[in-house]
Amino acid sequence: MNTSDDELLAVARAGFLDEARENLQQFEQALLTMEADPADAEAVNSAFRAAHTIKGTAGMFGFDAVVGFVHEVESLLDLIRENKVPLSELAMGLLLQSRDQMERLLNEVGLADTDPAVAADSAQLGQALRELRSGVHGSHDAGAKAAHAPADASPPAAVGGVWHLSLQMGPDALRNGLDPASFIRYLATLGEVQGIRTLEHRLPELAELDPETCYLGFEIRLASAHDQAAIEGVFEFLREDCDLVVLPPGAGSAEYEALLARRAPDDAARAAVLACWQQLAGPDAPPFIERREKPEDRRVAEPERRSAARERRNSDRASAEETRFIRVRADKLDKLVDLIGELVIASSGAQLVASREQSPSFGEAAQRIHDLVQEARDGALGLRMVPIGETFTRFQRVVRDVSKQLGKDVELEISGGDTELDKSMVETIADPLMHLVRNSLDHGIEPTEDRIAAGKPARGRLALHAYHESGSVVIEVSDDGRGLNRDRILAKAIERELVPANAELSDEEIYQLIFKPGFSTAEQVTNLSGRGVGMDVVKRNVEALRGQITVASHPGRGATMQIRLPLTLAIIDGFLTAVGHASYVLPLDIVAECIAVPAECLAHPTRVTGTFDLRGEVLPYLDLSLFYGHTPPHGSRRSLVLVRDGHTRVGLVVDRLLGEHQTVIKPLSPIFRHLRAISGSTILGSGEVALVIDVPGLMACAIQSTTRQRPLAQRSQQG
Amino acid sequence: MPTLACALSGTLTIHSAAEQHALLRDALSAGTSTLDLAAITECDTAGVQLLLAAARRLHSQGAALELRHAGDAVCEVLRRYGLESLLATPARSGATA
Repeated sequence: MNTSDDELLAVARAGFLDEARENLQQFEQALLTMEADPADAEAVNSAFRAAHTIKGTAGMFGFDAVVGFVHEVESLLDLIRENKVPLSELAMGLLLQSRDQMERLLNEVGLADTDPAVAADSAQLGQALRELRSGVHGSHDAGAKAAHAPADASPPAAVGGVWHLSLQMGPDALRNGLDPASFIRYLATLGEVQGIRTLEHRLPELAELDPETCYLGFEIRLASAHDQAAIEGVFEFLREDCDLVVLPPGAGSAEYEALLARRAPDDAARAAVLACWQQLAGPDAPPFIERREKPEDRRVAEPERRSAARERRNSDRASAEETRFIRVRADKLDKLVDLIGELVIASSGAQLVASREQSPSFGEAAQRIHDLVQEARDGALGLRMVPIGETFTRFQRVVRDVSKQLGKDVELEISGGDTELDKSMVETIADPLMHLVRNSLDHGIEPTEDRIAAGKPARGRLALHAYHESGSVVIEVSDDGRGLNRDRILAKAIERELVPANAELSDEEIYQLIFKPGFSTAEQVTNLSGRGVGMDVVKRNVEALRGQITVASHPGRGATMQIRLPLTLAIIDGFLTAVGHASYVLPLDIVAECIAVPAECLAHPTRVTGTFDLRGEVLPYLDLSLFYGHTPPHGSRRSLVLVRDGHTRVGLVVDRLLGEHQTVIKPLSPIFRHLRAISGSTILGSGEVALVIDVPGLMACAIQSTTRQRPLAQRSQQG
Repeated sequence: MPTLACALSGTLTIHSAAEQHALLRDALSAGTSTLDLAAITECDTAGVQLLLAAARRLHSQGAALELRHAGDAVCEVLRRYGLESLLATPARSGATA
């Protein structure tokens, strides 16, 4: 019982953290929009809402450190929203720092651990936020007083007329972190609050009062030229926690009567509400104070219809949002994908049996199942796919901060944000991308003076671009900076003995040298992209995802880093081949064609690699049998599979072709991790194990070590 | 009848409402009708409710609530809600301390 409670709490907390992080993202996005366009009121609102939601939910869980801090942030935003505090550089800086602090606090919640240093930061930053607020607080109060004085004496003729707002708070508003005061404060930006009365008739005796329940109602006279939607919009966020009626200027007595019926079910309440209205109205009595002794029947029609319509509108909106997204635990999804994987294997097992039994009807049924499983597989994998855009937008902040730090003016362009890839991959790719972005900002894009001197626009451009291409996802980070310095890279590589001094390398090959371990060309080591740890780590991370990274550069015009990732990690369409007694799977996407082994290869039966002529084009080949130390079978007809490796094509000589095969990739056990050319294993329908070839890895292996592989092959031939 | 001023401190908000509520109840039961708010740094709607409830209780007993040294935080929210009257020193017969 107790443990299940704890579990529930843990799940709820994880949900809270997820949601809070999303809100934090929204918060940051809104801040950046505010910075770019200070007049964007919606951005301020959005930031406020995000902070508010975090505070509210954190409050429900009792994460006081979060609540306390976010409250300060929210208060400042509130004043900014009302134009009481200008959105200065200082304010912007503090808000962005606050965002980071909120993240730290949320991380603490995640770890269920508190660090005094973080708490000290909270206090310090909170103090800074308060100071910024109080710097204007005095004048703000004076302003409020000034605004009140004439309102009490004689209401000025308002543009657009005087609205009547009636706000009855729901009991949980305060508990949900919604303080009506801030909304009423905000209301003042839409017009002039001519009068406000607090309805306290629902407030119980002090002894019986629940101090966290909200009992109050407010009746407000607002002179405003805005329309009904705008005024109701102020309370949008309170919608679930209050009952709001907005009566337009010139509303008739029937409407006020309906409102009265809605607010005051009994006579005592009725008297209280009427008294309050009377006070509000002052000398010029509007129609609503006519004596009310009408029978009950009229109370139903108007308000019911209005509220029904409102509720329908609410629920429509809510359900539309609910149907769009369901929150699912990641491990449940993983389990489903695993199961589908097993299903794929079982289904190919069934097909195998069908063909062995030579039963056409069984074969047909098995084929039908196979097709359905394939669809289910695509569907299940699709569930894990998320657009990369969210990751991209995170870089707005990075680009802003880093370019400020470096004193450069850089604009971030994002395209292809809706390109989808596996969620786990999105998470893993964020770090390498971060490094590439920082690298471009630091080394790629020149300081403004240099750019102007080079006749380029002063503002640098950094672009993040994603798209799908032949079974893989391509992510590009490009800049319009100075490009890579070919000569300096080569000189450095020679100095570091990464390549021999007399090496003849193409530009392409030279650029790829930056991915070598221990390489950095920055003459001035900065704290951003540092000391030559980096690009090699980026490359390793990308390769861990079975991806590749390449760089293209145009001196003086910029450089592009291209990351190419497989669409998914779990299940692929494979092409099954036999080499010796083992089966190997090639990803089907990269298989271009299969041909009989060309004469050039047959001429040198013991050569592991060589070249052959494909319709006039000279292409390299690799004999997998020899490469993996098998003895090629004599006399049997072998084949060559032409695969694409990035932009190049390579022939792989195999013993037999076994056809297409849906492949569920299982990771290799850790002791085989060092095998670079193999990315995993899979189980065939027959129960045998096949190895999944990692073609880029295989190429790298073959290029580097054919000389070392050959003795191995010969040794095993002897043994 | 001597009225002891009860000094509240800290915040008068949803976060502290439960404690302040208990404090207020005890203070009022002990015969206090004066609250010293000098040390209140923050006040929100939950705090306003407490003050209103306190005022109502005293009113029902024929007394009046007196708020002393209300700072900006308290004044702002009371004014916002049109409750400036709470701030006014009640004209009372008898003890004026």
